[in-house]
Amino acid sequence: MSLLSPAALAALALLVPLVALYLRRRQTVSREVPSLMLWRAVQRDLAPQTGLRRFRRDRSLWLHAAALALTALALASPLARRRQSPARRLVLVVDTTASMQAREGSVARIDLARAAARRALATLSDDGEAVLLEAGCLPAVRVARTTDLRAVSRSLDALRARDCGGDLGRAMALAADGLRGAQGRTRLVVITDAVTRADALGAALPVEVEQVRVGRPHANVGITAAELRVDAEHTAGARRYGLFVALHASPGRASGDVTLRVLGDAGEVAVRRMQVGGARVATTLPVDLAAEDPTRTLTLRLDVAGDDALAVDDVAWVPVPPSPRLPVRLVTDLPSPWVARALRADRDVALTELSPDGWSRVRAAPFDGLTVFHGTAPETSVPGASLSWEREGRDVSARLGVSLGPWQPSPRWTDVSPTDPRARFVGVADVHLHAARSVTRVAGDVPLITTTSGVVGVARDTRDASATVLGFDPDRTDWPLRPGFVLFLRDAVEHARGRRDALALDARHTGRPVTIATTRDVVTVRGPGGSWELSPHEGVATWSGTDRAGVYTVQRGRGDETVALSLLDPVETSLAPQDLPWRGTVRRDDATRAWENRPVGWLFALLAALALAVEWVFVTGWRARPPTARAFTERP
Amino acid sequence: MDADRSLLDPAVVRALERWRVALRRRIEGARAGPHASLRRGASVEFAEHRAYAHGDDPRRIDWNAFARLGDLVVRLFVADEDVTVHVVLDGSRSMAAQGRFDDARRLAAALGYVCLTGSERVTLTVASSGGATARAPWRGRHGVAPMLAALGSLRPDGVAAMGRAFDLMRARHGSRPGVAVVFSDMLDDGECVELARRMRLARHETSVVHVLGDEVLAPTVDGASRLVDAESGDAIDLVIDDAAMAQYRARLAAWLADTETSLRRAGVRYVPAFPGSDPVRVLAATLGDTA
Repeated sequence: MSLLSPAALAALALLVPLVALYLRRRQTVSREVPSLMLWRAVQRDLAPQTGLRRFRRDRSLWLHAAALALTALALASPLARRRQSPARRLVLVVDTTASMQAREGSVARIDLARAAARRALATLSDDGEAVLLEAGCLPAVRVARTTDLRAVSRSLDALRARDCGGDLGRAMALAADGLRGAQGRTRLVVITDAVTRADALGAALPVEVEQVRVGRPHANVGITAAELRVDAEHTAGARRYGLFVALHASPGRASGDVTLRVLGDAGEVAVRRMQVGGARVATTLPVDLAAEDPTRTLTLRLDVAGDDALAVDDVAWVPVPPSPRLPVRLVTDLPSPWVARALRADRDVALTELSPDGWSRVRAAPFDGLTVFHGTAPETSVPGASLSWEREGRDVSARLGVSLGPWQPSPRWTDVSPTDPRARFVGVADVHLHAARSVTRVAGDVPLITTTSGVVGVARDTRDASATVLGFDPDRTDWPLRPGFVLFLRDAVEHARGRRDALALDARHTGRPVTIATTRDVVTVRGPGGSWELSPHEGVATWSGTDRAGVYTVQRGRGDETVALSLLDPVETSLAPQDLPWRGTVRRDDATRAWENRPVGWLFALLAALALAVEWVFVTGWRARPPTARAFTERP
Repeated sequence: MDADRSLLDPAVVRALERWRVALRRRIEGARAGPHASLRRGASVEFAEHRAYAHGDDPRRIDWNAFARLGDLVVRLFVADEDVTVHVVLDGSRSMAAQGRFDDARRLAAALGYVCLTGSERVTLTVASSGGATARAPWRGRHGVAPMLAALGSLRPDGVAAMGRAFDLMRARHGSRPGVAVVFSDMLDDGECVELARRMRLARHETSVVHVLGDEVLAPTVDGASRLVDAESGDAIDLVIDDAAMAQYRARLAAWLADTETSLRRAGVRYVPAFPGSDPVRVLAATLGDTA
C-alpha cells in the first residue's frame, strides 16, 4: 500500500491532545457511597483482570484514537495494490535525464527503469500495443505504436541515461498524442525518479498517470554553474581570469570536503577545497594562464569525499574566453599615422600594421578581427570584417569587388544612416570632401553616408564577410580632424567585435542545441557523444545531439574550434524528487508487475465512521445507559 | 406535630386498618389483650391441668377434679394478652442517602400506628452513632403522638451498632417474647442478620424490612472513582466500567439472595422495601396477611 498524500498523516499528531483529554478525564473523582461492602468485593473480584479491564476501561479512547488514525489514513489517500486486468495499449514514458545515471547499489536508476518497463509490458494483453517514449533532453518516440514487444524490449535495451536535464511535461504532451484513438483498457506508465522538471505539463490526459518512481534519495554534490571571466587587472605577461563556480548538494547531505581542481592543457591551474553541505555554495577562483598557453577549454573536476551518487555533474568544462582586445590589421603601404592613432584610441584594440605582402602571408590563418585597407587592397574579397576607402589612382574598392562611379568633385554630405551602428554618432556637419565616388549598391547594401553625388559609403554584409566601403579618400577631406572620424573607426571596431562574439560557439549546457554559423556546406562535429556532419541552412547549422557532456571539435571553415558541454543543472544534481504537478491522478508504485493501485481512502473513512458509531452506541450512547433498580424492585 | 404527622400517609393508614397483627405463634403478653398468649391465664378457653404448686392461685384449683381424682390440680386457661412490638430502626449514616431513612421512618410510623391503635405495646430502639437509644414503650392511641414525635426527631448518623441495639432493647423492655421489626439497609457485613437471629432465639416474632435505594441497587458512578464509605469514611479507588458494574450487580444479587436465605432459615421474615415498593404491601408482609 502506498500513500498519495503522506503529509496528511500529520493529522496523527492530534492523538496527543486526544490522549491528554482522556488522561484528564480519567482523573479520580471522589464519590460517597452508602457502604463499601459490595465495592470491596468487586475490587477483589476484578483484581486479576487489571490488564483486560484497562483495555476495556479505555475502550472509548481506543475507538476514538482508531477513528482519528483511520481518518488521517483516509486523508492520506492510500492506494491498495491489486492484480489488474491486461491492458490493451501501454504507453511507456521512460525518464532518461542525467539523474537516472545515479547509482542504486550495483545498478543505475536507468537499469531499474528498464526492469520496471518490462514489468509493465508484461501486463499487456496478447494483442496489446505498446508505445515507448523517451523523456530525455528532448522527448522522443523510441517505438511507435506496435504489437512487437521484442522491438520495444530492444529499444529499452538501447535506452541510456543522458547527460542533460529535461522537461517531463513535454514528454507527457507527446504521450497524449500516443493515447489518441486508444480503444480498450489503456495505461500510461511514467517511469522516473521524479528528479526532473515538468513545466510544460498541460496536456489533458485521457487516462490516469501511473508513475513508477525508481531510486531512493542519495547524497550528491556537483557543479551547477561555471563561468570564466577576464580579470580587469590582467597582467601583461599572463592572462588572469576569474572562475566563478557554484556547487549544489542534495538536500540532507552531510557537510563534507570537496576539492575543486581546474585543469588546463598544461595541467592543474587552480585548486580549492570547500565544505559543502545540503545547500548551494559559490566561489570565485583566480586562474592565471600564460600568454602563450594554448588552453581553449578549462576542465573543472570535483573530488568528493564520501557518498556521491552522480558522476556526470562532477566535471564541467569552461571555454577560455577570447581576449577582449580585438585584433585589427591595418594593411597599407602608405604612412597613415592618423588612422593608426584613431584605432589605438580604443585600448581593447590590438593593432597590427601590415604591408600588402605581410597580409598575404597571414591571411590564411583564422582571423576574427577587423582588417582596414588603407590605400591598397588584395584582388579578392576579404572574409570577415573589413573597412576600406577609395584612393585616387588605386581603385581599392574595385580590387575588393565593389563597383564605384566616377569621381565627383566637392560633394556635400547630406545624410548619415541613423540606424546602422557603423554610423553611430557620426555627424554630417563641417566635413568637406575634395572628391567622392558613389558606390554602386547591390541588394542588401546599407547606405551609411549620402552626399549630393549619391551614396558614398555602404555596409555590405554577406554570409562570410562584413565590408564597409567608402567612396572617398579621407586623406583628401578634413574629416580626420573631426571627432566623427574617430567615432566612425570606433564603430567599425565595435561592429567587428560584435560579429566575433556572434560567431563564438558558446553553448555550454548539454541538451541545448548549438547553432553554428559557417560558410561551408558541411559542418563536422566530433566528440565523446559521436560524430555529426551537419548541413547548414542559410549559413547556420544546428547541432542538437548535445546530450553527452564533453569537449567537442567543430570544423566550420574557420579552423578547428571547440565547444564544451556540461550538465550544470541544479535540479539533476540535487537528486531531490520534484512535486510533479499531476497530483490526484497519479499512482505511485515501486513495482508495477501485474498490479495496479486502487484508492481505498473511502474504506478507511468508513472504518473511522464505524469506530465512532460503535463508540457512541456501546460506550457513550443509549446502549451504555446504567441499569435501573427495576430488576430488584420487581421482587415480591 | 404536623411534621410528625407527615410521617403517616393517610392512604397507607386506611389500608392498614384492615390488617392486624396476626402472629403465627402464640406468644406471651405482658397484659391482657386481643391475642391468645402461651401464658395460661384467666380467659374462658381451657388449656390443661397441672399439679398444684405452692404459690398457685387457690382460685384456679379444679375442685371437681380433686373430687374425682383426689389430686390437687389447677386449671390452666389460654390467656388473652397484648403483644409488644419492638421496632428497631437502623439510624446509621448509610440510611441517609436518597431519603431512605425517611422511608424507614414512615414504615415504622405506620406500623407503630397500627399496633398502638390495636392496643399493642410499641417500643422503639434506634441504632446509630456507634451505639443505640431506646424509648419508653407506648401503648394505646395515646402513644401515637409521642411515637411520631420520637421518630420525627431522629437523624441518621454514624455507624449502626445493631448488637448493642438488641442488648439495649432487652435491657429496657425485658426479654418477654414479642414482635420485633427491624428496618435496616443491612449494609453492615451481616450484623443485622445476626441481630435478627438473636431476636429469633429470644422467641421474638422477627421481621426484617430491607430498605434499599437506587444508590445501592443501581449506582450511577462511572469512571475512575474514589469511593468513600458514608459511615466509616474509608475509601477505595476503583475504576467503574462495564465490567465493574456487571460484577457489582452480580455481587448485589448474591448478597440479596444470601441475606434472604439466611433470614428465612433462621425463621425471620424478610421483607424487601426497594424503590417502587408499595408501603402497604411491605407492611402487610411484615405483619402477616391475616386481616
